[in-house]
Amino acid sequence: MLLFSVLSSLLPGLSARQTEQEQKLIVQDIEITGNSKTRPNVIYNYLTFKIDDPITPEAIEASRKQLAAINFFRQVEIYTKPGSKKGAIIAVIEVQERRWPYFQFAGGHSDLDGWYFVPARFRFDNLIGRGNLLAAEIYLSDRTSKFSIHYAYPFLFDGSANLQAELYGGGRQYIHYLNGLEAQQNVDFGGVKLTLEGNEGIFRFIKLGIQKEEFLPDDWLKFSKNDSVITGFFIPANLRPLEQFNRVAAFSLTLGYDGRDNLYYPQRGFWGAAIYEKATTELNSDFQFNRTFIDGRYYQRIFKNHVFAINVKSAFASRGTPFFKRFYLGGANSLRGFAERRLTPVGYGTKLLLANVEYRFPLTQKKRMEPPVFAVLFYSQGGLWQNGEDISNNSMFKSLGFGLRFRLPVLGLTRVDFAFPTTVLNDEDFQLHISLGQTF
Amino acid sequence: MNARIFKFAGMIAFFIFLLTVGAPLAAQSNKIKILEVRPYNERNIVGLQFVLSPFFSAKVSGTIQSGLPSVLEIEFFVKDKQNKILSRRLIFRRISYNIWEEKYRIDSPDTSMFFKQFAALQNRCLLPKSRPFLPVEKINSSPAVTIFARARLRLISSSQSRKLVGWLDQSYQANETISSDESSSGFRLNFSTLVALFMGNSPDKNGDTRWQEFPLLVPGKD
Repeated sequence: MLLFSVLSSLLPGLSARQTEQEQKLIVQDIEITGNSKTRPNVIYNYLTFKIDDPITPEAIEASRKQLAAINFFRQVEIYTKPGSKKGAIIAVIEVQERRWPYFQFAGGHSDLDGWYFVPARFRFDNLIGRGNLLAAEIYLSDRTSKFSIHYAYPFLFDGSANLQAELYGGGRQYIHYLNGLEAQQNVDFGGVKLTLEGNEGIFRFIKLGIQKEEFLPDDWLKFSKNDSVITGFFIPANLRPLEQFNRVAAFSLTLGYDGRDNLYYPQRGFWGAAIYEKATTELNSDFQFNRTFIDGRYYQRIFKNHVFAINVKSAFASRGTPFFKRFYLGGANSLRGFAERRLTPVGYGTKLLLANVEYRFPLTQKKRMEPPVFAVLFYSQGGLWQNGEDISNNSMFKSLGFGLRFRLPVLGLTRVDFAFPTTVLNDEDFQLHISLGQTF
Repeated sequence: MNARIFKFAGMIAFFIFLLTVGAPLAAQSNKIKILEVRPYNERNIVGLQFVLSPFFSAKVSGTIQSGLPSVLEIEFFVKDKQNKILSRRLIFRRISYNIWEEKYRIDSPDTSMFFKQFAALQNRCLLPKSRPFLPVEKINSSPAVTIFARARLRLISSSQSRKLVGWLDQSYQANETISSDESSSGFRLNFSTLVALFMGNSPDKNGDTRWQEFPLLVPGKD
């Protein structure tokens, strides 16, 4: 009797599910029209379905959005035709190819360069119809001006790897604090960078890179407060240029994992990256050094959309690392409560420890996965040391504060942080940080 | 050196900008022309019936007959002589075909209609009718009332047409790859598309047809 009632309650649901499965529309074929130079494989790579897959309006819309987003085409339309048997469909991808390069503006905030602006970026994507991405851009920021050419081929080895190359040249201002006074040193640079990243299986967690660069630091420093300049022997030894050009050639290995449930407002999951970089004379480098970064982030929803988030970052560089490859501390994306680079020793640091803890909660009533406005309470602690110095809790800097995050049109997630250092430094007791994106 | 590079890049930018803006925009598909608007009077409340030009191209028919739904949208508003909007409405009709039961179907928010023949569904779709929405006395007190209407079909019930946001790539965050040094967040604007959107020959900015104008002549009104 009991068995009968259990079966009778289960069977209708079971048969409905079976019917639903049987009644799925299946892709019998994919036809592509309007492409004169773009190879069909390039288009297949951006579709969320393939032949013999079940198809839904959502999958078609997702594919259309992906194809539209790559900007290879001026127009993308997907429609369907009945297939040769019931439930089979033929998906037709109709595209209008972009014949000319296109032009982009860009802007934002970067850790290394502060606020930046790209007044001119020319995109020559899909120039020969193989899905290659090519861009040339002028990049201007608070501290950097550069010209660069980017190339990417996202479907190397039949789509299993992604190749990127960058050729660049320009100048960057490095901030130093000498006896509490801010000074700037310009470093001209130029180089080429190649990276190869897996797209599938275990290789999607791995990235290999090789980089060859030349640096030319100025042999003078300019103080921002009084416009005075120091030069020659007055410059600290570790900031002086070695010779006319300082060549750095290095390879790198990056292991990365992203298990966050959402990029905009992660509520659960872990993100981690470990990077090892080695510069060696065998690659014709003037410097020989190793650098290691370890960065971990963990997110845990506490209740409703309230989230506890923690980020721990550490970095080590060996003796012999030039200052422009060493680490800095202080600023909106580093240790809040202190000005940009404020806690960086002269010649930059070789041992970095940084931890940020945040409690994030939405300020809107509606329960959404991505709240448009939310607040943050944070505590940060970090330290930066040079070779020969011991890492100790006493030499760490600490701060706490609160912040607001809101999503603005065009700019995206905008961040305002009110940060109060608990380790007082020269009577500096408050910092307002305005930036874009999450801290971590 | 830097100044020369910037000057050269600026000249190239301007040249490419001219080329891209000059390129005409692609014609939009799935636009529907409204041939006529027929008002009707039901208990002193006026409704509208639209007469649409045939839009069941091979593309539209094939999509519906393969089992994927499409949505017909008619947007309209009624204005008096002083440009005051008396009413604004949107009509939705979801058009679908159940290939297993071999039934065509039109769904509106309150009703569903079934058809055995595709021709019958087509005929019905070409004459969509709003519910009565505007009291006759409102029209009587405002001489020279005009209807502005436009119609379109969304294939596979999704927004297939190029949208206004096409010029703006989504803001991005690129701090997921390399920690410490190279994280950044920002936005990108497709400038040429933005300019073409406002200066090009396109009759519409977001895939809709132009607004069409019709006089509102209420049956039985003097």
